[in-house]
Amino acid sequence: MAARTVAKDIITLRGSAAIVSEFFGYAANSILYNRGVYPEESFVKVKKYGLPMLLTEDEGVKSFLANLTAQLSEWLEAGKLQRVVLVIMSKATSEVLERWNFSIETDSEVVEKGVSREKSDKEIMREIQAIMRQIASSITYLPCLDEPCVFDVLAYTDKDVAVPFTWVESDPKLIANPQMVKLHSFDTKIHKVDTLVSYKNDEWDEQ
Amino acid sequence: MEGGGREGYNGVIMTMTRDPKPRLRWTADLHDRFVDAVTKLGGPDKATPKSVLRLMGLKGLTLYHLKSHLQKYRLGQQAQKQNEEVHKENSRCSYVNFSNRSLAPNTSYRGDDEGGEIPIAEALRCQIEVQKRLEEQLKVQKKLQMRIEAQGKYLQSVLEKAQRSLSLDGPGSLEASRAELTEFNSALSNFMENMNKDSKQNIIEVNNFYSKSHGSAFYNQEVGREQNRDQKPKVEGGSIQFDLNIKGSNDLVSAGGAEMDANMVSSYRV
Repeated sequence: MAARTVAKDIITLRGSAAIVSEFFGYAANSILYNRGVYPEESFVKVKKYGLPMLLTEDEGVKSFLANLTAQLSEWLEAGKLQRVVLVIMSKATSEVLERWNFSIETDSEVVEKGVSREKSDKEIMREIQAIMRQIASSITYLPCLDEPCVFDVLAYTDKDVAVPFTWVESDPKLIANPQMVKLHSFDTKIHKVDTLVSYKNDEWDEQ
Repeated sequence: MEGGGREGYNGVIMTMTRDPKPRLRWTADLHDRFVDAVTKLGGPDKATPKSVLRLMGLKGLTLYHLKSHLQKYRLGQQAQKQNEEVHKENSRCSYVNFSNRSLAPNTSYRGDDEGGEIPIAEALRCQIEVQKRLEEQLKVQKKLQMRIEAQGKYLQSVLEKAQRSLSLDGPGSLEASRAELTEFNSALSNFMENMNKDSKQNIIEVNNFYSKSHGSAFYNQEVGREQNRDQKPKVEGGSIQFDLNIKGSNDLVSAGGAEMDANMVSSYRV
């Protein structure tokens, strides 16, 4: 019987940071499309994570998200990023309507000692795929955004992180007494990402 | 409130700015890097925003940021050069004016942004020392005044004696008395001159002290005037007039401007 060599999927800190930051880019695009923040026609279909994904063609948003993911990747590699929140607000009143919260746990040993971890790409992809499906299906329970909206991205970092030139300190943009839905999480064995969406309580539900 | 807020979180929450020309906070570290880059490029006049951007190589830094900062830096350098020239002329002095009636000096400092001015604590210390010196001067001058008064009383008694002797001896001894009184008057004028010199010397000492300790010009009133050394008693029709108000001797002016009256004897009718 021929001996088969088992290909080990080794994940490094840099590789994990790249996977997670790329995930944020696709997740943000998916949220913006599914929540109707930008018109349908401004998105183009691509295949990613074994799913048809939609990416914005709006140059401003594209540039914003590219810069965002580059900075997040840098912080992830340094083990300084704790949370990323995509906030959807009313364009007219700036009232926070939804918060897409991605909490990150980083393996400190990997950051400090530079060791690597083992996990297959397929497994990671399956976990991310599950989250993307949940984002797409969120329209079934999230309240309808029937007014023009804008989005913002908040990064929660360690306190010793210097604020980059193109970033400004911000308030957490919280929602008072929100409804919360916990989504799936994914783990690269270096970074574990938990997803949660919180949204404004519908007056109809309260009555 | 929802989870994922500030509760139990002590890090930094930040957001990316949407401004295509985001405002840049020039921190000390960032400015130092900018200055290093400009220096390497041969100074602010030779450096261009593009070359500085290339040399600094910082992500998020744009030509827009560097254009304005380089312009400000150039202007700052020009202003600094001008300031340096002015300071060379003034030899970085601070001026202390002593007002006519006040013992407390009004100090005004000249200094630039780089902290060229004299530290306040040091200035206050100097001021206190000067005030102490001035108080000492006042004490000395009070003593002098007392001496002058005593001398005046003595002179008055001498004059009274002279008057009596003149009235007793009659016109025969007038010449002898006149000679005696002339001698006395010149002695008196010498005494007053010495007093004035002492007073002047005291003020000059304070002035020198302040100049040394503070590197400043010390303005005070002109103390005393030229003495009329050839003052002689005037004899008009059998009367001798003694003018002890020798020009300049009646106003001993202290550094603070306090006048001392040395008007003791004006004239005596024989």
